[in-house]
Amino acid sequence: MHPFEYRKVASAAEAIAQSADRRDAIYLAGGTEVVNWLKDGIVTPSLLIDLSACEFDRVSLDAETLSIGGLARMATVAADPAVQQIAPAITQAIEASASPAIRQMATIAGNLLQRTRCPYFLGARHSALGTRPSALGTRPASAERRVPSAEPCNRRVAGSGCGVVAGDQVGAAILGASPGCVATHPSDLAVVLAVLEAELVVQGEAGRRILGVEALYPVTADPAVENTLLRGELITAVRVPVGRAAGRARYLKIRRRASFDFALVAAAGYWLVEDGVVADVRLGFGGVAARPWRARTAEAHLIGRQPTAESVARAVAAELANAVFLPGNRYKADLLAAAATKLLLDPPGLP
Amino acid sequence: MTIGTPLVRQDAVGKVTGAARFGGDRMVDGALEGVLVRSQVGAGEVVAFDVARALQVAGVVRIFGAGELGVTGPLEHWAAGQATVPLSDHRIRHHGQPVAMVIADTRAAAIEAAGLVQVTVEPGSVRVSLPEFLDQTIEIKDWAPTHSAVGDVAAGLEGAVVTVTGRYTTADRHHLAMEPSVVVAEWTGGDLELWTSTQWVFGVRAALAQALGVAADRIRVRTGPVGGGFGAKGSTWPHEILAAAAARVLGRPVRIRLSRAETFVAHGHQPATVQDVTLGAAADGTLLAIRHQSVSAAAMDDDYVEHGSLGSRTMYRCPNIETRDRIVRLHRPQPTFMRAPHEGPGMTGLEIAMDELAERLAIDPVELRLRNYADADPTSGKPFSSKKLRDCYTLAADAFGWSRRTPAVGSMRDGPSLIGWGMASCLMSTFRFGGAARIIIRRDGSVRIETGSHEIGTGVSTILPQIAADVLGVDPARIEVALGDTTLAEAGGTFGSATTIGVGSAVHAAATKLRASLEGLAGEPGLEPAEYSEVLKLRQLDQLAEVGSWAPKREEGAFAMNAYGAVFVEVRLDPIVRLPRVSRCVGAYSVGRIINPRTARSQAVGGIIWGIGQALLEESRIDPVSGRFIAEGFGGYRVPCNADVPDIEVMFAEEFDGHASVLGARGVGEIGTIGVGAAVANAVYHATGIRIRDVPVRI
Repeated sequence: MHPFEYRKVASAAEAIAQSADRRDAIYLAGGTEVVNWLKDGIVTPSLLIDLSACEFDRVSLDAETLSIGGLARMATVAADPAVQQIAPAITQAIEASASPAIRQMATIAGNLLQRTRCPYFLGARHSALGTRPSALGTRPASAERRVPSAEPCNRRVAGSGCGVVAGDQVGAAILGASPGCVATHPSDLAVVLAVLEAELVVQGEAGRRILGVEALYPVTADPAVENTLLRGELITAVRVPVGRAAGRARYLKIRRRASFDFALVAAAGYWLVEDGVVADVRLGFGGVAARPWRARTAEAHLIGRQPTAESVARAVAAELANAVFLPGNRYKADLLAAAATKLLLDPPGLP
Repeated sequence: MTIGTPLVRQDAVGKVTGAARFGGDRMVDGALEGVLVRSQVGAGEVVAFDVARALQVAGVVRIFGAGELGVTGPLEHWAAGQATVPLSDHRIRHHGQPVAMVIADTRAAAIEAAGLVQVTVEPGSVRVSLPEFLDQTIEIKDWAPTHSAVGDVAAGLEGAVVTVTGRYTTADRHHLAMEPSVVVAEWTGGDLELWTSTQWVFGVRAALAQALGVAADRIRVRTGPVGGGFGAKGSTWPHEILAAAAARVLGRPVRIRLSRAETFVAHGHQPATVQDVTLGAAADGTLLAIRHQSVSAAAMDDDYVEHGSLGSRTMYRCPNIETRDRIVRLHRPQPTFMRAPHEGPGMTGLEIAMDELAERLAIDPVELRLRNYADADPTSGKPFSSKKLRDCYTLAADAFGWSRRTPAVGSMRDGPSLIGWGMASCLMSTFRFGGAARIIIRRDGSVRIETGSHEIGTGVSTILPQIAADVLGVDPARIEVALGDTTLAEAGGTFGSATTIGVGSAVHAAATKLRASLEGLAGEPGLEPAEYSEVLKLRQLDQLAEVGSWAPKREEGAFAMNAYGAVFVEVRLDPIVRLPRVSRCVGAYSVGRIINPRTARSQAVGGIIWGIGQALLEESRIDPVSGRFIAEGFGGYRVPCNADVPDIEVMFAEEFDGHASVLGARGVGEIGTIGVGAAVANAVYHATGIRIRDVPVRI
């Protein structure tokens, strides 16, 4: 048992203050992630700060910005008329996420701060974690916690290695990976927000700052850095610029199971065709990197080209020029090209 | 007649309202909690334990290592899921094997302490991958022959105009019952009472008797409603033995609850198979040769054979058939039966090969099967007890609209969507276990059936009253059922689609005897049910009981018995993304007489959904380094969700199989899963031209 203290706070300011004097405090919002982390021993905070009574959970709209509170529940946001009208891809991404029950609980900020579902990160979740021969005998007797992961994972135990490299690679990243980590980020919403160039309102001890959604994640997968938030910082709002991109973008998720499944790959974006060529385009990928992957190389490649499947395939190939494949995840290249082609040529309709 | 009426499940309301009490709901005063420390290497030797820090955790009572529990293997009784008994030696045979057991006052304390047990292991070299060791297959002795041969396959192939040969694979799969197993063991003096979530209370008793060195009559095994088993709870597994052993040593009740993650290592899985199938046929499609060689992944020191070639011995008329089932020993947990064993994986290979043959010969897939229809078992030569498979082909094909199929690949579309239609034959060997039941009628006219069978969600507690009601003429609502207890009349395990045959027939026998006894008491035949109470009153009896039993008869061995079916599916694929989804499915089955159309339909539909899982989703991936099944939960192992399940229509052929059971019934529990994998693979080929020989389908 890992004992921890639980405190419920009424405002972001109070939450930040509470966390300031407890270095290992973590925030609890919807709980659909954090509770699992606690159960699996992924996090061992001494203080859990419950944000559920805080009020940064509203959706609001002005002429330039659709603003979504960090604590807004996913289901609420997906059903919001302003969201559906201004940025329907957000609704598409949320409705493709998890299950209805989880979407009722989970929050927008929490969704962006999910951790990977890499099976090596999740590790051996047996009720008892006992034997780990590489560490046995060498483990310092003073170690406070049980061995948190049975298998190598640099995100779980720094320096333990990456189990995917010699292991099961089917879910591994192909872009932006580092030698020490090939995890992917599981969020659907983040891919859409990257394409919409949304900003995050972040509050912390030092005050408020604005962060582009892409800047929330390390450029190259860094097992030691889940995200770029500073200790104690909270995402209080997501701001989506109102305009063409938000209005036109769509989201397409490719998954094995027809519902309640993470993406094998995903694509978000749109193109605008003028005079028979692509005049404007945005494209982002999910399921391929430890971050939402804005495909800027592919976008540049498409501008001025004919809006055909061949153009998309070449653009995706260009984006993947620096991709690194393992034997088990090569399928993602073709599937990604198919997803992008489908998204741009035959975008999924709105409900 | 209540047989044949769609009575609502007796257990339905309790299960949907939460009133049903499962094993984990049982509270036992003073029970200690056991948590198993499991190996996280796939092979090696335990060389040292350090439990000093673990023992400091408040509430820890005892930590057991190897050799401290008074249990030994190997277990010879077939009720034991595995012969090896963990904690009886220091050897590690697979990832997840118990290497120590912590006993504490609370589960939380036990889990914490388990994480602090320091186990020093001398790791051995681990072999995990089935494809990598396919050159090291062995053939072992098993309950069924591992090979068969009639005629001369080489000669048959020589005479064939068309030959199809291919390698077909199925994946490792896990049962994933909703209810993880819970066991509570309590000794009173030298007597053990053990509550566990099991499909076979008498099997657990037999295996425990051997493992513990205790006479079976000193052991009482009980189970409540079982929250899904699918074969994982059909045998006796280490957690049951270890709970009983620990409770004996400590003199206090011990409970072990498996976590969801542990269900991936603790009670078996369906092993991956690699099947080589060769078919030879004349120009008109007549089969001249069938060769089916199946290899399944097995544990290092425990024997389990997935008889992948079993169906090919029986399915089609053919003068030359040769089959063989072999295993490869790997550092994996012991596999076990999983709905549907043997033919479930095995018919996938045969039925995709048949589709390939149909295409090569330009013969309709249904027509090819009809041209090779077996009227007797082609391997044993025995006549079939009853077989209405022709009706199944017709019923299902008509309902599906098969005649509208255009055979050319990619020729059927709905707008841009690619459509494929595929079908497969289904066959599953019929298992029959003897059994007994006691039936009691009370003076108030109410009836009670007592038998050591099990309600695993299939409808046993609903159909047994129907069978008794039919004989006695009483309202089935006045018949209660007691199950899951070795103090009741002995019944076989609730698996192998065998319970209606065995236990149903025993209830029929008991009810028949009871009726005769009542008539004897009355002194006249033709007693009206309304007069039962009067007769008991007249004879000053509070109740009257009879025990009936049923067992397969020797002369019935002259017949080959199987469940049969035909399944048709439609798949749709987006032409760009090409991810198949099943959009329609029709199955028709020949399973003997239907006792309850509602529960039978539910079994068949559930089976088809299970088959869609096999076809498109289910694969338990394994880490090639450690041998860890990496899913460890519903998040990492995909079973179909509602969105994956299309409209499913099932039908049953009119049938009465008097050789299989006195009721005319055979089994309906598993046949629905069979053939779906092949039918989906064949449909994907029809839509795309991509020949699928591996399930789940990955294109």
